[in-house]
Amino acid sequence: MELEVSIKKTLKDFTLEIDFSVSKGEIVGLLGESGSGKSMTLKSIAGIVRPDGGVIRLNGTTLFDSERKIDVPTRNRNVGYMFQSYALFPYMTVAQNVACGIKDPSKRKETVSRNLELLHIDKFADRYPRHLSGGQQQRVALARLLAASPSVIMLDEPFSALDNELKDSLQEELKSTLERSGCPILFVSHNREEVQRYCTRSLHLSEGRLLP
Amino acid sequence: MLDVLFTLPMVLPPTVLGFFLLVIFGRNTFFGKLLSDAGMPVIFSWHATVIAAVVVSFPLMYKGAKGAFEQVDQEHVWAARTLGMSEFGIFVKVMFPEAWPGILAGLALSFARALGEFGATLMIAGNIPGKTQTIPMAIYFATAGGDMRTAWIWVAVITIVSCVALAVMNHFGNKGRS
Repeated sequence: MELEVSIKKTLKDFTLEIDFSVSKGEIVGLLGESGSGKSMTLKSIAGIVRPDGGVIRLNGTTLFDSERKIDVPTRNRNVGYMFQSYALFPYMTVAQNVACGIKDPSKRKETVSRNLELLHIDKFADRYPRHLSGGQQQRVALARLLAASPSVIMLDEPFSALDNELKDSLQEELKSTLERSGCPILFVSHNREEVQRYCTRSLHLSEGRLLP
Repeated sequence: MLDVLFTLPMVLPPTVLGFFLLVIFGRNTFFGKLLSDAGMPVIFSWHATVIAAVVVSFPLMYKGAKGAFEQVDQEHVWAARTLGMSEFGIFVKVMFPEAWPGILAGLALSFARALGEFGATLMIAGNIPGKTQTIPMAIYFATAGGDMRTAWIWVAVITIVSCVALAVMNHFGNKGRS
């Protein structure tokens, strides 16, 4: 299992030109100031934005290739993307949110309860996201992501919406959960310390380019 | 272009709308003649009151629903796509529930507007008691004829219904936010 990214995209202030790969079980931190192209990289991998050129491959499957005119729609890319705002569906309960990405209806119930237990949110199953704290919402977002059994996990500033105290308690748990998932993981952050704590390796992005 | 067409009834005077509808459904045009020959003359039938009410209230429904869908959080839609949901599934499960309070508000407003429609209705449906007489028409002719008792009754009815429509709108509007 491996993610290979080599893309180019002209943005307003600079050109994003990035080339890297993440292998199975690796947590790679993508570090950089806000506006350095981190989120744009994640969005390109997810197919939310379209790079001007390049190749994106996941486990040998080509998701994007400008020359061969391949651009797999987001829905079929099987990417787990945790948005900075978590993007939980407000009109669904926690359990319904987590069930959204499960493809096999016969395993839906079991997968939901397994992931709710894994992240210790089973007692909130019937609540709505607005009744949960930031940390609890993050767990729901992660449970929803894991339940969809993605081929790659991407986290966009996962701790920016949490206070420090909560961060410490969540971080260790998140780390072990992510390690167990066994897929390539991309972790976007502007916080160097956070990246060092978490990631097996880090990439520094500045004005759209990787620093050596 | 379509947006202009759908919104136009909101800014045009009701008599202008009535005029257009008269031209479209009148017996002198192809379409109107077709309906008439098929045994469904529209002008001065109760169908005309419905058509007038729909045309006049449509922009409120259209604007309300459009605004509601535009306000759906795009990040939710993208999150749903990364989860592999189909576009139809996203529409039904993510977009529609988020837009629902706005749609309902549009529904209540357009219902109240349709109920109060006067100008266009008068032009294409006339005022035939028991057949094409709407509440606003009844109020107008009762007042004009000095029958204040009847006028008062209808005024009360339409005020109550309008208040209920507004209450429904506010109730669901707030529910969506909290």
